Amino acid sequence: MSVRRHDHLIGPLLLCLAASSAAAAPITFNTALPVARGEFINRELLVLKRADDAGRDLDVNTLASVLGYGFNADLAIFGVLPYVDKELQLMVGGTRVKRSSEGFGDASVFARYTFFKQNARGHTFRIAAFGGVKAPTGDDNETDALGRLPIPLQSGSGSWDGFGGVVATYQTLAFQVDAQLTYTAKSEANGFEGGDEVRLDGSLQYRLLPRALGRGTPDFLYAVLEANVLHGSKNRVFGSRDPNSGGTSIFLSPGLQYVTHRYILESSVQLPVSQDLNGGALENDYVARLGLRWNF
Amino acid sequence: MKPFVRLSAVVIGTALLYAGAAFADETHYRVDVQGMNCPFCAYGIEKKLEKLDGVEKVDVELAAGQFWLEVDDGVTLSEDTVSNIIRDASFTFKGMTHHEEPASLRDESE
Repeated sequence: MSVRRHDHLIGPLLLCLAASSAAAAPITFNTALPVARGEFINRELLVLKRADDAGRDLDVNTLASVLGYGFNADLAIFGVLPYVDKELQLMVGGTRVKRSSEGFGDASVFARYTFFKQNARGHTFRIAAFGGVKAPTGDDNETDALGRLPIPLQSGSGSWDGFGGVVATYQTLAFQVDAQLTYTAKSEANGFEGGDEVRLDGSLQYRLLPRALGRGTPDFLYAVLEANVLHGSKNRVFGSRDPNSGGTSIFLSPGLQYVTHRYILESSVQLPVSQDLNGGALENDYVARLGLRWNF
Repeated sequence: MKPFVRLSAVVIGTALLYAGAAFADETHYRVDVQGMNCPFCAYGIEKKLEKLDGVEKVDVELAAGQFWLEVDDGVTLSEDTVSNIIRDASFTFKGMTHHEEPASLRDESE
């Protein structure tokens, strides 16, 4: 009665990588665009994930609160605190069983440093490195009538995980392109060690409205198309590799983003293109996102 | 001089005097910025420029990469102060120029 750990897209780690910026930005990952010195950016992101197969239905709903602060022109720090609601329904001996948890998940902090930038009239190109940790702040010892919940169903993972990578952004008045490479190293907790992950993301945001830019600062409506490639190595359970874990997934995420000078409203649906998972790992059906970020 | 011409001269002259008086109590600066390409990008800068002493209004011309500042008459903005605000936002400061005309009358070519 377990859910194999292939929950890349719902963990706070990935939520924090989609943290924020002081500009239009990808919805499913980060950007190299800046947070001005002394400025705070807030993002509230609702993530609804559904996965199922013949005998299992998993719903994970997460509300992630993200706070970003511009330490200086090149360095920004971010904090992420998710609230998660997980529910698994599965058949056990001919009976439908429901197991669930709800509560604050694992908090993350990370820093992003822009080491290259080229500004010109009408466009900017930036490359930034980032790195951080996910702390085991969520409850990882939740139980129900059937006993202790499996780790992927817990609100928290119990482990300290580190992550880092590089993100590049090219932005013009008409469109924006972002690309990000991320490595996540997971540690052991409660006899379980999630497999390390490598992730490559790309995003194109194309301005639909206004069609032509006149004077002033009009609101922008962007069409967004993102691609995410994720590879996870196998988990270890008490030192042994789990053959039903890890694998490679490719997702496409079409979406819309409405950008004003005070806030950004955005939404996307992440759909699986390919899920080459090991053994019987649970496959995602979709991940829907609805977000609001504002500058204060 | 015909009465119509005299009357026209008086009306136009009066209008010019009023306009001159209206323009005399405010000054304008244009700040050129590079790398700023979306509305949300501009807000962090706009907010700080609005807090400068004597600044009454800030207009953003996104396509041109410009901020237009309306300041009280007699107020002089420091270029260092303005350029630091732009740099702290991670954009490139390209210059600041003084203008007598209000933003609403500025030339398209600017």
